[in-house]
Parts: sequence; C-alpha cells; structure tokens
Amino acid sequence: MLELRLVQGSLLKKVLDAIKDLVTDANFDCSESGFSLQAMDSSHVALVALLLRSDGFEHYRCDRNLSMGMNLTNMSKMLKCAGNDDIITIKADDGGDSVTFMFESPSQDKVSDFEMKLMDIDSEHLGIPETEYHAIVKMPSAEFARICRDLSTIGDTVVISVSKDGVKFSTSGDIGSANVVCRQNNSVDNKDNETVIEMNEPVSLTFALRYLNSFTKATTLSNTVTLSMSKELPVVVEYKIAEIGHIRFYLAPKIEDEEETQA
Amino acid sequence: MEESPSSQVLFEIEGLILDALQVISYKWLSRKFSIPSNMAKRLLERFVSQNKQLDLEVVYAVSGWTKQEPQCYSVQLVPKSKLEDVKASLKENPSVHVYSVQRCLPKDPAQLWSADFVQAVELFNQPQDVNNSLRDNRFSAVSCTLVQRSLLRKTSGSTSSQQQIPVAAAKPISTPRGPVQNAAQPSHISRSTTADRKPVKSEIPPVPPISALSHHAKDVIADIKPVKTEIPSVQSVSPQHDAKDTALGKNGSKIVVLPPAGKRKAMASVPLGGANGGSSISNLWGKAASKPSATSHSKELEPPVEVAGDAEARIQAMEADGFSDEDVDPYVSTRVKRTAGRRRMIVEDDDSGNEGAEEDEEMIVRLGTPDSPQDVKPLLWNGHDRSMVPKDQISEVNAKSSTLEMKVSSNLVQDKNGLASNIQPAMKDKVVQKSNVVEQDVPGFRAGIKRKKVMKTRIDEKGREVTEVVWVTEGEDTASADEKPPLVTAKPSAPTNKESDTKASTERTRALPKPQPAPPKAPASKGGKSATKATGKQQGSIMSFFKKQ
Repeated sequence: MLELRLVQGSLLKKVLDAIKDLVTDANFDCSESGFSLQAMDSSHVALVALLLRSDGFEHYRCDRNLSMGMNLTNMSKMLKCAGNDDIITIKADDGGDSVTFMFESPSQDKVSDFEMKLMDIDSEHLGIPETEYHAIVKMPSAEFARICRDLSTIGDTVVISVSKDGVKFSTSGDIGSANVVCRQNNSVDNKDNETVIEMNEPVSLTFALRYLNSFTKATTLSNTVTLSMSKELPVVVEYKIAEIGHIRFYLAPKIEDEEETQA
Repeated sequence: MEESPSSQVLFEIEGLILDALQVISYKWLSRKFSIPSNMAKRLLERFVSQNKQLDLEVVYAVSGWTKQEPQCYSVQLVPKSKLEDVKASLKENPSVHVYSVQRCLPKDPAQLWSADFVQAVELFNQPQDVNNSLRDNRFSAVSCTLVQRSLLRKTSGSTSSQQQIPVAAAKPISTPRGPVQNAAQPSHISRSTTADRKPVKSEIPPVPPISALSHHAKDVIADIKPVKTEIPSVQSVSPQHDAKDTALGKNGSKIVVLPPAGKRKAMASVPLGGANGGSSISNLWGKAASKPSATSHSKELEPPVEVAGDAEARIQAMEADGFSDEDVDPYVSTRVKRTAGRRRMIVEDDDSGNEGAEEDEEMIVRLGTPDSPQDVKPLLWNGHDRSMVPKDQISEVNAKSSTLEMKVSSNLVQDKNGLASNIQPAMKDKVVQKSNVVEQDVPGFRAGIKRKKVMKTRIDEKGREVTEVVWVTEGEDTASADEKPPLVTAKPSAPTNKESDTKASTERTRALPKPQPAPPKAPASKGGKSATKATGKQQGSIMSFFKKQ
C-alpha cells in the first residue's frame, strides 16, 4: 500500500512539466525514504534524477518498495487537472496495475481522483557515484535559463568554462558568436540572486544547448540552480525542490571526436 | 466538554486544524459559522488555551503605537514566538488578539489569507437576493448607513451555511480592529445596520460570558427568531472604538444568529463532524472527518488559475525548446504524409527518388546532398496533396482561380519559386511552355533571391549529430515581389477573362513569395548554427559515465 499526500501539489505539477519532455516513460520508485525517479532521455545523453524525501510529504506511507512505471505525458495530463493550490495524494496498491491521483481543493470542497494505468518499463538504473566536482557554480535559475535560451538562438552547443573570475558561457554559429560571463556576486540581502563559484581547478566543457534548455524547464521549482562540473564528466544541473528534495539533470559533455583528434 | 454550540464549533475547529491542516482565521470562522468576528476571536483564543498540548501555532494581530520615531500606529500579524518582542516594541497596552490558528506556520504568508479570500469570493458570488454576512456587514464592527438589512431576505453563510451552528454570541472582545485589518478585509464593506434591527427578546439574559452562553444556547434556539447582529455605529478605526464596542456589549446588545427553522432540525439530527455522506475527504484517509458541509451546494470557488508568470515562462521555454516539431528539417517536413492516422515520414533518396524507403514512426533523415529546389519540384508535386501550400493561399486559389488560365499562372509562379505545385497533370506541359515567358516578362522577379548550398549540423531525434548540405535562400524580399504585378499582367494569358485573370495573378504573386522563406528558415536557425564548430565534437553518452546497477 502506498499513500503519499503532498500539500503543495503544485510542486509535483512543476516536476512533471520539467521532465516530461526529456523523458517519456519512467519508473517512479517508492521506498521508505522517499519518492524517486531516475531516467535517461531516449538518446541516452541526459539523465534525470528526482528525489522527494518522505519527510516532505504531509503523509507518507509506503509498506514495501514499489516501482511504478508511468507514462509521464499521461501523468502530466492528469496532474494538469489539479489546481495549483490543490493537495495531491498518490495512492497505489502493492502489485496493482494502476495508480490513483487524488486532488483536494484547498477549501476541501472539491475532490477529484484520477486513476492511471501503470506500465512495465525496463529501465536501466544507473549507479551515479558521489563525486567531488572540480567546480560548482550556484546561480539564479532564471539567469541560467535566460542564458541557455539566448545562446541557443546563436548556436547549438555551449562551452561552459569556470575560472576564478566567473563562469563563461560561449557559443558560436553561422551568424556569429556569443559569450556570457557571470561573475561571482555575493549579494547579502538576497541569497537567491547571488552567483557563487567554488572551484578547485578550471573546467571547460561543451554541451548541447537543446538539453540544457529542456533542463531549464525546472526553473519554476527553485530560484537557484547549481551546476557541478568536472573535467570529462557529465555536468550536474540541480534544482532544489523546496525543502523536500531535488531534481538533478546529468548531461554528458561533447567530447573531441576521436577520428578528428587522430587526424 | 459540554454539548453546546460553541463547544461544537471548537470541535469543528479542532478537526479543521488537525485533520484538514487548515489555517483558521477569525474572519473565516466568523463567516463560516455566522458568528460575530469578536466572538470568533474569543473562540479561537479559547481553543488555543484548551489545546495547549497540541502545540498549535498562533498568529496574533498586535496593534498599537510604536515606540520608535516617527511614531505610527502599527498593526502586525506576529507568530507566537515573536509576540513578546513585538509587544515590547509598542507603547504600553498594545491590543492583542488571535488572528489565526494553524498547525504550523505557513511558509507563504499569503496562506493565512487564502482561506478567507476563497470564502469571501464564494459569499460574493452568491445570488444577489441571498443575504450573507458580507452583504449586510453583519459581523463587522464598522457600520455603514447605506446598508439595509432585511430579515425577509434569505440569509446564507458560506458553503457550510446550511448547517450553521446556532451560536449565541455576545460580548465583543476587548481588542480594537486596527486600520490595516480593515483594509485587508475589503469584504467588510460598511453598511447600515439601522433598518430592520429587531430587539432581542427580553428573556435573554444580558451578555453572559462565553462559557455561560453555551448553557443558554438551546433555549435561545428554541424560542428566538433569527435576530441580526447589532453592530455599533462606529466608523473610527482608532483604538478608541474598542471602548465603545465594549460598552455596547455591556449595555446588553446581544447578537444571536439562527439559521432558518427548517435547517435547525436538520442540524440537530446531523451530527457535526461530517458523518453524513460525501462530505469527508478525510474519511477516505481513514482520518476523522472534519468538514460538515460537502452536502451543501458547493460552487466551484477558485478555479485553478495559472499564474501569468508561469504561463509566460512556459511559453518561453517552449520557444527555446529544442524538442519542438519545428526542429524537423524543412525538406523532410514537407514530405510528411498522414498514413492511417500514424505519422509517417518519407524521405526520398537523392538517387533513387522513389518513396520505397519508408518506415513507420521513424524519422529518416536525409543525409546526402539535397536537390536544388527546382529539381526537387517534381518529387514534391502531388496532384491531391496541397500540404505544401499555406492555407491562406489555398483558399485564395479556391476562391479566385476559377479559370484554367488563372490556375496555370498561379502555378507558374509557384514553380518559379521552387515550391510545391498543385497543377493538374494535364496542364503540366502548358506550364513548362509558359514559364519562359514569365521569366522574360518579369525580369527582376527572381533577382532578389539567391540560393546556395550550405553545410548544416544539427542533432537529430536520436541525439546524433547530423551534418547535411541544404539549400539556403538569401535576400528574400517580398516587397520586391509586390512591385511585380504590373509586369505579371503583361504575360500571355487566355483572352477570355483577362481582367479577372490579371487580378488573380496579382493576388497570387503577392501571396506566393511569403512561404518562400520557410525552407531556409529552419536550417538557418537550427541546423546551421554551428556547422563549423560542432564538427570536431561528438556527443558522449551518459551510459559511458555511469555504470548500470
């Protein structure tokens, strides 16, 4: 038996909006510790890891570990039926083939429940090692979204370089090139607006902007985003979800073509 | 606890706070159970004092003159923890009353107010002839001479009003209503109280304290007609009015609100706590029911409203989205066929030119050099499929090209622009013959259009990087096309309907150049962005970094 009651139902809506375009089907894993998801996009270039800790739910009951395969597009359609202020409850029976979403309006005068069929999904669960990253950049999420959006009008790929001075996003395309540099900026009064760079050694990696752009759909979840990078490792783009968990996107960097380098 | 209306209310409050986790403010309580707001404040206070063990969070409204210069009258909502600090910052005897009680302090202060708001909207949305506490300003301490109260009008509370608990209320509380509060409570429009006020029956004892009141409640229910609230005619919002307020209370003004007789019976039989029927969401949860009112008419109060900012952000995200359909190469997309409801994409191979290489639900991307648009034409041509022609153009064609010549001439122009043609096969020869003439007659027609082959690199649906050579049109200038019509009219056409033909051709030439920018658009904005740069880099797979578990 699984019963999760999330008072801030809009969070779940936002989470789905953030990942549904990247991943179409995914297994939601429920355990005592929380509600999580790990899935790769169809091209196996990006990976999403979502965690909603059990203590973030108003009511969390998970009798045994449960993996529920869901079509995220369908799930998102159902969650769209929930109001932004609604309380969302997820219910499922052990071994059942469906999951029920229940939406309660804040005034409690409207209750809707939606039952969705589950799917069997063979997903490859990847072990993500805990890594010390060479550079960690914390910046306003809206700023990051803006940069990715702007640069994608110029080029397809972005080079993210972290140095002591700041973080530089650069791209080039047929029409020209663009560089955006964000300097370290510790604003005392507003933690959300600050850009903080922790760096052990300079890192410069190239990424496909289309993936970064789809990650930025999670901007609504958090005011800040954290980019963690190490040389020749996937970047981690992390959005915290208001004291309940996080959503992390991993994106494999573009690497020098072997044939090119040999030649 | 004694079975009295006020204790029932307290029981209700407990349910709402503990089970529904609702923020209960005195305003909400007042309207919900049709009790005066002062009474509601006292009830909340009593509830808090009775349930200390529950560790409830209380938000107090503290008002008074600040000690700091410049002095001003401040009204603040403060949590329990900060109450003493705030009191200390105000001059002696600040007024303190319970504003709201909740299980935990909401992260967003607006939540304190949201339940009130929903309720106010609901009350205001009730039909005009229904009298509710907001319309007649029943429970406000501030009155207005313009508001008429009528006992004959139907009275109604919020959704739960049908199960209103008859509560005999009295004694206004000793705390003043600060200016801020009133401002934040627009629903309390000042209205008159004079019109239909009824004197309270004499057997009612004057102003018992709350606890005493409950004893009387049953008697009151039994033999009192619904009596409307007495509200002191005080407009002032200064602390002084509270003195008057209290005085009035002490003078014996009594406030009794009763639901209509029919409802009283129902209430008696229906235990509070929502044991009846569909009311209790929380029953589904195996928890104690908390709401009494789901059986009552429930309007959709607050349709989920998308925050404008959200929507905008989403649109922006959509625009920036690399996954959108616009991503598809224009040359490919022009050949999408609808087959039995499935999306099928057919791409001809350069050499074979046949449509054999098609796969269901699979995008095949052309990897070789595309034909020049002119060369592509025959492949694109499809007598029945007008998918290439923009809708407005099609309608124009349908509307105006009634004669054969018109069709031919329009198609001619289309051909010259390298777009799909919808020529009838029989006319094809004719078109070819005429095309030269058009070119001669309209010398500048294609002058502004240059095409060149460009290497484009993009990432396809499978994440592969695809470098392809596409035709890019440059110097597209619709304005120049617009200038052409006089020349077009000079071209040979059938003598029959020359005027209309001319007109149609003119229209056509204006409309036709528009779709032209389409083919180069996508390659320029998507595929062609970084032809030079990306060629040396290869997209790695995430699988090469993380091991399978």
